[in-house]
Amino acid sequence: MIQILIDTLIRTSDLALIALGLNLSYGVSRFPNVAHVEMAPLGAAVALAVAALFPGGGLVGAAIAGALAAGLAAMLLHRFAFERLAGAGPASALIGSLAIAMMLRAGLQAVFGTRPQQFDTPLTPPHDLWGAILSDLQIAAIAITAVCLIGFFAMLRLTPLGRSIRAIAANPALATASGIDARRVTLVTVFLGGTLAGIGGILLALVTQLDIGMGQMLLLPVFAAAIVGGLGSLPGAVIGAFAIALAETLVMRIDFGLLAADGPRYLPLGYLTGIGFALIVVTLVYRPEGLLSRGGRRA
Amino acid sequence: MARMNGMTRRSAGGALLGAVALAMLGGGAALAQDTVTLGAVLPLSGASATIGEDQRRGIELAVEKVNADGGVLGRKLAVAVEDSGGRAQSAVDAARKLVSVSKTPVVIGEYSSGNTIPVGQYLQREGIVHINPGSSSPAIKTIGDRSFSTIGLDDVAGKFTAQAVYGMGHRKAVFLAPNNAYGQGVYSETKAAFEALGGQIVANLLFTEGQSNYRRELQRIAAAKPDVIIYSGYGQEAATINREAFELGLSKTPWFGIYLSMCTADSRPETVEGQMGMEVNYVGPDGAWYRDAYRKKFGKEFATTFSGYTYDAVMMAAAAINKAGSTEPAKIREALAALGDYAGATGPIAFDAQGQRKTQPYIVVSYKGGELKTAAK
Amino acid sequence: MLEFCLHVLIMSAIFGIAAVSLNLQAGTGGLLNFGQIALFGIGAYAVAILTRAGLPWPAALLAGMGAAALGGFAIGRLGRDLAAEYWALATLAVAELVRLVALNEDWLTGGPQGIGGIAGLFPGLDGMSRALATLALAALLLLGTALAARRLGQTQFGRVLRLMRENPDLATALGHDIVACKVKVLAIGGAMAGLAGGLYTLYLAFIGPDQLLPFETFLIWTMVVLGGLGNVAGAVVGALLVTALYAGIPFLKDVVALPSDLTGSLRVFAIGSIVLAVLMLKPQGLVPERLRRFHAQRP
Repeated sequence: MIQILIDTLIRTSDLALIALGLNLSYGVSRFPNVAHVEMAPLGAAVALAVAALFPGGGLVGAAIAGALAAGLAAMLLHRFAFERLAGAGPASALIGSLAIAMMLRAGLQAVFGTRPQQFDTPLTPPHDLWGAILSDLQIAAIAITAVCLIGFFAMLRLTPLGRSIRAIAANPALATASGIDARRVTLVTVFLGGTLAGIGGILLALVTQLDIGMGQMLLLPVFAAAIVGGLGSLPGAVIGAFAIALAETLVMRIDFGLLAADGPRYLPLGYLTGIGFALIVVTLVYRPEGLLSRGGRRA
Repeated sequence: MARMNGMTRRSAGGALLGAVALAMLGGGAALAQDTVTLGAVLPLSGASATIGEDQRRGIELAVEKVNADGGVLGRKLAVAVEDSGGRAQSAVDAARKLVSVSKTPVVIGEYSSGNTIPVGQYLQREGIVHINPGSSSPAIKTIGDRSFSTIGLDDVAGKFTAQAVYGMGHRKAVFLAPNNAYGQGVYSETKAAFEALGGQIVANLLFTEGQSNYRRELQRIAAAKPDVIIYSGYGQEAATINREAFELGLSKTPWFGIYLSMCTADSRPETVEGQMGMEVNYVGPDGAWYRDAYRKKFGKEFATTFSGYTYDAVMMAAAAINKAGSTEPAKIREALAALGDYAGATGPIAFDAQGQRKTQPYIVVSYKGGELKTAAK
Repeated sequence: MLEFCLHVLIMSAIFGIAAVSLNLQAGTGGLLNFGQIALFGIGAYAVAILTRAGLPWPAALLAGMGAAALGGFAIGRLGRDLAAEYWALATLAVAELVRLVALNEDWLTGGPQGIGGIAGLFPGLDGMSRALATLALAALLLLGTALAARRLGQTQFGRVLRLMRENPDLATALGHDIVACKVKVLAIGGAMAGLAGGLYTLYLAFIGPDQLLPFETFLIWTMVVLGGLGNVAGAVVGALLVTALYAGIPFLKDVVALPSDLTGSLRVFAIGSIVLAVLMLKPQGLVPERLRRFHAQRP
C-alpha cells in the first residue's frame, strides 16, 4: 500500500513540473505547445554539459544553468516563433510547435549524441520506509519537486508578478486595460514554464539518466496530465500528474486473475504507456474541460 | 513581410532541391571503376545509434584489413554505409539506394529485426545477397536463399540460456526484455526450452523502451518472487533497470543476463555485481587480434558486441567475391554458401541450409569487480 | 538510379493519397486529425492480414479501405463536441493506442516483428516492369482520389465543410448537423488513408508497428502544410516534395563530406524547418487554396 503511494509519488514528480510548465504557458499563449516537453531534455543536456565543463562547479550550479537555459529557450521560441504562429490560430501554432519539437530533438541529438548520459551521483543503498523501498535520489527528487511547487504557487499568490500572470491567464484584454504589460508578462511566464520543464528534465536525468529522446516519451503522459487536470489550470496540472501516476501504478498492479480465478493475470506491460493515452481520450470525451478547468468544449 | 520574402525563399528552396538533385546524380558517378563497392544499412541515428556506430566501426576495420591484404579481385574494396534511422521504411529506401544507384552486389544490414526483415525481403526480390550482422530473431530464417546471418539466431541462444539457468538449479523464473522483435523472439525461444526442461516462467515482462523509470515492471517481479530473473536489454535501458532494481533491493535475487555485456555496458558496476549471464564468445579463438585492432583504432574497448559481426560479414563477402572471381550477386551467393568453415573474428562461422550461422560459441559469464569473467564453457 | 527515382515516385503517389485524405479532413473540413497514421495503419494491417489469409489483393485493398473508413467514423464520433485542438490531441492519443494494439497483439499483427512476406503487387512481372506497373497503379489511384476529393469540395457538402471550418457556430445556426458532417468526412478520409496504407503494405510487402509512430503523421502533415491546406493539388505537390527531400538528403553526404550519423538528424531537422518556414512565411502553402468570393472571410 505504502509502496503504491511511493511509486505514484515518484511518477508524479516525473510529470508534475513539466505538466505545470505546460499549463502555465498554455494559460498565456492559448495553444498546446508540443515543443514544451523538449525543454526537459534540453535543460538536462545543458546541465550535464555544464557539469562536465566545470567539474568543480557542483551539481546545483549546473542544474541552475540547465533550468535557466530551458527557460531562455522557451522564451526565445515564443518571442520569435509562437507569437507569430499563434496569430494564425491555435492549429497553426500546434503544427508549428510539432515542427519545432522535431527540430529541437534532431538538434539535441546532433549536438549531444544518442548515447544516454548520467550525472555523477553517488549510489546509495535503498531505504525501507514501512515496507516501501526508495533511494536517496528519489527522496531528493520528490522533495525538490515539492519545494518547486510550493515556491511556485506562493509566487503566484503573493507577488505582483504572480497576480499579473493570473490576470492575463484569466482575461488578457482586461489585464491589458488595467495597465499590465501583457507581452512582457507573457514572456516571463513562458520563461517560467520552460524553467519548470527544465528542472523536471534535470530531476529525471538525475534519478536515472539523460536520454535525449525523453521528450518523445514524455509528450503524451505530460499532455495527459495537463488535459486530465484541465489545460491551463495550474493546480490541475499537478493533480493531473498525480492522477496519471496513480492510474498507471494501480492498473499495472491490479491482478485481473482474481476475477477469472486462474492465477495471477495482469494487464500486459506493453500497454503501460497506453494508460495515459486512454485517460486523455476518456477525459476529453466525458469531461473535456478537465478536472479543474473551464473551456475545451466547443461553444 | 510574407510577400517581401517570397522570391528569396523560393530561390533558397530551389537551391536546396537543386543541391539534392545534383547530389543524386553525383552519387552514381562517384563510384570509380577500380573499386568493388558493397553496401550496408545501419541504424546510425535513432534509438539504436550507439550500436549502429559500433557496427560501422567493424566495417571500417574490415575494409582496411581487406585492402591491406590486396583488396578483392585486384581491386579496392569499399563499403557504402547508409543510415536507416532505425525506421523500416528508411531502411528499405536506403537498401534501394544501394542496389539501384550504387549497384552493390551485397548489402549488409540491419540491426533491429523489424528493419532487417523488410530489407532482406527487398534484397531477396532483387536477387542481391543479404548478410544480417545484428538481428537474432528466428523470423530471419524465412527471408530466403539470398540471405545469410553472421550472428546466431535466438532459437540457439534461448536454448543455451534455458539450459544454463536450469543447470544452476533455478526452476521459477521471470523474464524481462524489451517489447520489440528481439525481446519477443528471445522470450518465446527461452520459454519453450525452459518449460521443456521442467522449469516455469511465472511472469513475462516485455517492457516499453525509453521510459524514465521501470519501477512498475520491477514491482511485478518482486511480487512474483522468482528464483531467478532472466533479462536482456540494450545498454541504456538496462542501466536504468539495473539501477532501480538495486535501489529496490531486487539485486539480491539472482539475475541472468542474455548477452550480459550488452546488459551491463552502461550500468554502474555496483548495480550489476554478481550477475550471471550468457554471452557470445564474440572474440573467437582467432580473434584476439581483432580486439587489439579495435582498441588501437578507436582507443576504447568494444562499445557493444556487434562490431565483430559486421566485420565478419565484410570479410566473408570479400572472401566469397574472391572465390567466385566475380561480382555477380548470384555467383557471390553460391560462393558464400560454399565457403565452409570460416574462421571469423567472432569464432568459426558455418552456414546451415538456410544460410544461418550454425553454431555460436556461447559461454556463461559472471560480472565481478567491473568485468565479465568466464564461468563455464 | 532510374529505379530509385521510380521508387520515390511510387512512394510519393502512395503518400499523396494519404495527404489528399488529410487535406480533405483538415484543409477543407478544419479537422486537425493528428491520428492520420492510425487510419493509414488500419488499412495497411487489414491488407496484410487478409492477403496472408489468401484473399486476392484488390479485395483486400477494398476491405482495408472499409476498415479504415470505420476507424475514421469512430474517431469522428469520439468527442463530438470538442474544440479543434482538444480533438487533435485526442486523435494523437487514439493513434498511439492503435499502435500499441499492433505492437502487443502478436496473434493478429505479428507484434513487433510485423507482418512480412506479403504477396506483393504484380508477382508475374519483374524488376523494372513491375516498378512501372506499380507506379501506374499508384498514380491512377492517386488521380482517382484527388479527383474525388476535388469533386467533393465543389459539392454542397464541401461548402458546408468549409463553413464548418471557418465558423462552426454559424454552420450550426444555419441548420447543418456538424457532427454528421464530421463523421462523414472522416469516414471518407479514412477510406482514402486506408487505401494509401494498403498500397504501402502491398508495395513494400511488409508492415510493422514502427510505421505507425506519431512521426509518420507529422510527415503527412508536413506534406499538406507545405502544399497548402485546403488545396488538393497542393497536397500532391507536398507529398512529392517531402518524399523526394526525404529520399534525397542521404545523397548529399555522397558529395559533401558529412558524418553519416548526422544525416539522420539532418533529415528530421530539414523536415521540421521546412514546415516551420512555410507556416511562418507563407501560411497558405506553396499552392494556396482559391476560395470563391462569396465564402465567409476569415474571422
